[in-house]
Amino acid sequence: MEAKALESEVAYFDQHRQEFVAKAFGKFILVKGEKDYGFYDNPLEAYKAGVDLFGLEPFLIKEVLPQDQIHEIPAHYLGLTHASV
Amino acid sequence: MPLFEHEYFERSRSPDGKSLPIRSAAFLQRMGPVLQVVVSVTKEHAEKLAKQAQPVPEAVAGFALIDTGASITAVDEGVCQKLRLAPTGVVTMSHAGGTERRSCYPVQIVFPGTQLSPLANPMVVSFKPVEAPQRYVLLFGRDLLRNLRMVYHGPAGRIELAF
Repeated sequence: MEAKALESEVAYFDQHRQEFVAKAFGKFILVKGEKDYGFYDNPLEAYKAGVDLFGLEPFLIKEVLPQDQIHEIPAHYLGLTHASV
Repeated sequence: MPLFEHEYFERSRSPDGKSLPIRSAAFLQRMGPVLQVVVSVTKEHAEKLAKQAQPVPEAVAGFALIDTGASITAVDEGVCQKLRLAPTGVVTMSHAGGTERRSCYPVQIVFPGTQLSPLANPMVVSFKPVEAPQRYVLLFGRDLLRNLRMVYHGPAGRIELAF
């Protein structure tokens, strides 16, 4: 799904990214709306905290890095994931 | 280190309708390293639904490809919709046409008929459905592979996962 649901959380993270990096480089942050809810050692811990706090509502887990990592899935974008056999 | 071995074997039909075995090596070459999986909501998600006396969405079974070309594990967006998942993240994906931001979702992955432990992944990126039916419900990327050792034994038509 194109990412629209978490726009305000992403904007908040981007706005504060440098201070988060200085504070907790490499950790995972939990963000809901325009507020952060702590740093965690791994995404699963952040997820459990998010479910405890917000139930099944959307929330953002983000690795605290100076720049976002860019991912690639060539097989999918080349259309190979639905090729017939 | 626990070891999981999977040997591929399939039968096909000759033009006159006779059942023919396909050699493991040929099957592995044709299909790639695929595993049967069942994708469901996470344990935490199911517990929340139970507390609210809400039904848990039915898990989705299908095939997963271990895709060494993928930097991140991805799930068919249709599966996320069936499981009624709320997003937990956003990642930037690169492709020939540029980049796009995609939502991530929390899922639990079970490997039926194996001794592999269920895998809780709170941030699996969704991939867009296409018109043709998807061959895989899941692509295992290098985010999974960084935690295990995989042997692709082409001549034997077998993969080994040590984790």
